Amino acid sequence: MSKKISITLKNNLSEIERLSKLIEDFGRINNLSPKIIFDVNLTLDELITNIISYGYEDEDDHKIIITIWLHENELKLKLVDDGLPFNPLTIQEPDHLTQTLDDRPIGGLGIYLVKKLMDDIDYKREKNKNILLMTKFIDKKI
Amino acid sequence: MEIKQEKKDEIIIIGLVGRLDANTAGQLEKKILPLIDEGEKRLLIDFSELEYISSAGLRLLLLTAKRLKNVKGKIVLCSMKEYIKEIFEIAGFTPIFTIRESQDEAVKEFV
Repeated sequence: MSKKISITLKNNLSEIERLSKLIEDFGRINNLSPKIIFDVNLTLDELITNIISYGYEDEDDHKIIITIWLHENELKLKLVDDGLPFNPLTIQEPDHLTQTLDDRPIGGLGIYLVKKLMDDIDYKREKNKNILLMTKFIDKKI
Repeated sequence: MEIKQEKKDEIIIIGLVGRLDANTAGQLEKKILPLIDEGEKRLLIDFSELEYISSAGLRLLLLTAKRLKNVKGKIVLCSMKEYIKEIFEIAGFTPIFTIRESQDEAVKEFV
């Protein structure tokens, strides 16, 4: 394993744990901090859980392709899926983050966390695929 | 995910081990909500062996806190890893939940 990995997942939630193990290996080999590894895991988990849960109108098998690589002090994540068009950048920030326990609705946090954890997100729709390119700035452990 | 459970001085102590995500949150929900239905009112969740939490886990904790509040119960969390605490902050959960550094400190919240 090196500075770049590519992983193909099936549209099944149990695949996310397998992905997390590969991300942990990638992180360890490239000296990434536990926090960076966690943030990457959480980002991809939230997005992929969304895709698997809401992205398909059929019951067929689908592939979700993830590529992770290092470029200088940036960690790049690319996520490609053939689900329904979904641009996370159009999702509004939840307005209930400061509400009391009684008033707070349950849920609606996933995409918000992704936007907070990533430093840059770029979305495009091409050939019936969603393509997300994300950047996380990293301070490498010495 | 492994879920440890014990009862000490009328406090249910749940120890989470591994990952709390969309794939495992249902497992925990089936454990915790029946406890509240059976009348348990003091719940301590120990995060010391929890490596990972996603929004599905946060959602379940919020649901649990609401259920407990309805029956005048209390939930306390403890021993969170730094990166998990940060997620609680981003999600605006720190003002809602009582979070303590250790299980001993968390137990004191029920006195």
